[in-house]
Amino acid sequence: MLRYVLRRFFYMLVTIWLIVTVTFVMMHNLPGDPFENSERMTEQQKTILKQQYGLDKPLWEQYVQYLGDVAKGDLGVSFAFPTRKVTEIIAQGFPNSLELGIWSISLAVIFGLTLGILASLNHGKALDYIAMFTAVLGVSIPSFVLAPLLSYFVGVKLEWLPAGLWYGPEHRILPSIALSFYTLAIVARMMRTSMLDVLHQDYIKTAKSKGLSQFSIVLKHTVRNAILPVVTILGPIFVNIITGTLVVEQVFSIPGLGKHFVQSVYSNDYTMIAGLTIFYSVILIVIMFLTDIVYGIIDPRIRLAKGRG
Amino acid sequence: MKAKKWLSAAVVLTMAGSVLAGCSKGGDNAQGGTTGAKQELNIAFSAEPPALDNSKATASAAFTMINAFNEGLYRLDKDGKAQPALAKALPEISPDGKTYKITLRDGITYWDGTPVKASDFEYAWKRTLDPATKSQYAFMVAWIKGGKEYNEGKGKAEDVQVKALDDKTLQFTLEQPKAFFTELLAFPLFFPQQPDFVKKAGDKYGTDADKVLGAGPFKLEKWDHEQQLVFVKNDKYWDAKNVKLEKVTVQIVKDTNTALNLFETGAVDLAQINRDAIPKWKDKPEYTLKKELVTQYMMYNENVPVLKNKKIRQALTMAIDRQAYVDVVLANGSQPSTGFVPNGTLDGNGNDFRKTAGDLEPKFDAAKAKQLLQEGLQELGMSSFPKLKVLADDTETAKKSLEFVIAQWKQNLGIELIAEPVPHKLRLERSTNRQYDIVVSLWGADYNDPMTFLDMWVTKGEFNECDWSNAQYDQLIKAAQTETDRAKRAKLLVDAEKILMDEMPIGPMYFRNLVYLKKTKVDGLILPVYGEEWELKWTSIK
Repeated sequence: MLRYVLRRFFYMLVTIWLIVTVTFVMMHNLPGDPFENSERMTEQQKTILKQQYGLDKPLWEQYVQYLGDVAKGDLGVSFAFPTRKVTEIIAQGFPNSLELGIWSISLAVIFGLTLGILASLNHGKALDYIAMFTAVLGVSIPSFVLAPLLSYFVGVKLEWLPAGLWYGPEHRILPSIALSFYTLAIVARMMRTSMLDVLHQDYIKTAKSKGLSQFSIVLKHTVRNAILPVVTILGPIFVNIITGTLVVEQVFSIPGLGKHFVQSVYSNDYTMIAGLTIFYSVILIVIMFLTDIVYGIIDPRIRLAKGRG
Repeated sequence: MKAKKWLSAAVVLTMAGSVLAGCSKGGDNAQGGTTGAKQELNIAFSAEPPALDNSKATASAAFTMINAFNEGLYRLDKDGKAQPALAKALPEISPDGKTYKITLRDGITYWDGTPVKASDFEYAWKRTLDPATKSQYAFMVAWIKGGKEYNEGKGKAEDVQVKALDDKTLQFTLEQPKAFFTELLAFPLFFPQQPDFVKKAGDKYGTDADKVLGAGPFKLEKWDHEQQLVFVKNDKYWDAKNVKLEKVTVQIVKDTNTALNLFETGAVDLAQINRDAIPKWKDKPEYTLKKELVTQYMMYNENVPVLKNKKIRQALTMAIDRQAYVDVVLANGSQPSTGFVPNGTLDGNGNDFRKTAGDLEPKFDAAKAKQLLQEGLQELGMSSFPKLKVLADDTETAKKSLEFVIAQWKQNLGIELIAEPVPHKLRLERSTNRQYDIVVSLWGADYNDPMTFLDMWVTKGEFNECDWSNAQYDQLIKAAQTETDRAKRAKLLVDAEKILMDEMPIGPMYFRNLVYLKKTKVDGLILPVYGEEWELKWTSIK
């Protein structure tokens, strides 16, 4: 097991190094310079700043310097906010993106699983159709459409909930719904398919013939086995949710990290682009690793197989 | 069957739970905003300000916030005129227009009780000039004698001609007279800094609420980055009795649609809107136009042979219906240009420069434009107009603008040009490197004077990216830079703009304006034409 973990750790470092390198090369090929307000700068001012940030050195030298800094956990200073470290900006914005992600994934899992289970237990009946219609809607309406709609109708027209901002619990609801809808739909459809598959297995028939209660059959035998494929996709989906919050954050004016992703590329904020890429890569890899572990907990067969390998 | 019931119940309960959670009230900024005559204002603001350090600030976002919590020797009123602020009266200016002597008010302090001294101004200005500070706006402070040398690392701080004669008196001498310098002293770049506080904060100065100190109408109480800035009234302000607002919350809202939603629900009292929302609000009392000192223009690259011809440049500009441009394409309150210097720019002699100069840009005239084009091509011995490219930003508005001008040229001149929308940074880089034929560009004032628009175009000027050169024009600008008679100076600048509008190295298109929505209960709020987004000192809630 230890060897397996160490090997995985080594792969993780190599992956991150590759990502940093590719990002570094690509961002240095972006046109223009990274300084804020650069249209008002004289060439002399640009030269001074380039010296200050070491951008006048050859690219390989900058690269070696940058790798050294990253190894020390220093992601540098943002070009757009020269008095703020990239790590500071991430520390300020990420908790909000993460919270939104957690709310959304919770909603998606609770309602998605429930819908999927209800649909499968009522296969071919009205409830099944309603659940699947909801799922189709969820997949069809992207968050960048749903978010403004919710903000306008629920926030402005009905005035039930705040149309934006990020303060109290009431500010969490609309953005979480907007962000969770797609995932909810995916989870519901997957759970339904998986449940239907399991419900037709021989061991379920055996359990029924043994006289076990419906409740026990559904919960202990069906759901537990049917949930596996869903758990597999939850890791990547969660990463997708916390990195894909840009539109929802923008629409509801949430002080998260999403907007920095796009803005930093648009303004050539090199350190911010690279910092965010590294940060999200690490998260993605760690979450995939954790997904494997959770998977192993749910299904002992996987754990044993990996233990042997 | 039991299971189904149990599961259905669970679903219902969960959903009910979420709805109930939604009904709970929480947070210190729940919907609703201000009520009655409570002197509180909520503003939607589109950008997180970078550091609030007036030596380093470059963005309007930073200037706006600094202007709320700090103050200079003067503060601009609604007409853009300088009113004594930390200074007791308007400056005593020597006959040659170069030496200014200013006396400070008695008993003025920062909000922590530390007295504001004349030496704080001297310290702040020299800090801005210090090459180590790397201030982008230092060039304006460098107009003080010895400033340029110090800023370029060729001189010493003690040789800069700004001196606190005592705690109350500041004296400085300019390299050349500047008619607009008193107004310029109201710009945050010239605000004082408390030396001990700045030194203690080090490179964190201006980065958080506890890392700023000011002597302005408000105190910065809280700054949650990317989310909000909270200002409260500064009771130690010298004119506190005339400051009505007790609290101002600036919400960072980047999306104009979100800002509009928040405005409609009453969560904010002031918000900027985009063109899509204008038709709905245009005739409502909340609709507020903010004039800006910003001009959009076509820049014709002199290195392209066909664009070296004056008549062709004139034809290209004259063939665009600027009124239709602002009405149809922009529809955001912007005005068609009548010269390069925008409406609202003071002429240094107490008048609006546009009124002094009149309409100098040729009016839209398709027939005349076509004739000029033919004449121009004949002069060059060309039979047809080459397929030039038009470089512009790739934002939605820029792309629409690009489509419009290309269509106008095709329709009115019968020539085909190629649209080339690129990311903003690339557009800047290519302009600087002269890798363009025609580029759609914007220029905004650094200070409220025609010079900020006109000195760009002198031969080999830093921002003269079309390489146009005209000896007579250079001479006029040079003369205006040293002229102490304000009326004569204004006249020189008018003459310079006449040459620019005749030669047409650039074709101005429109003067940009912004549209805000302001709740009718908000009174006395100023939307300055340059520098800051808004001025809150005289604002109150009716």
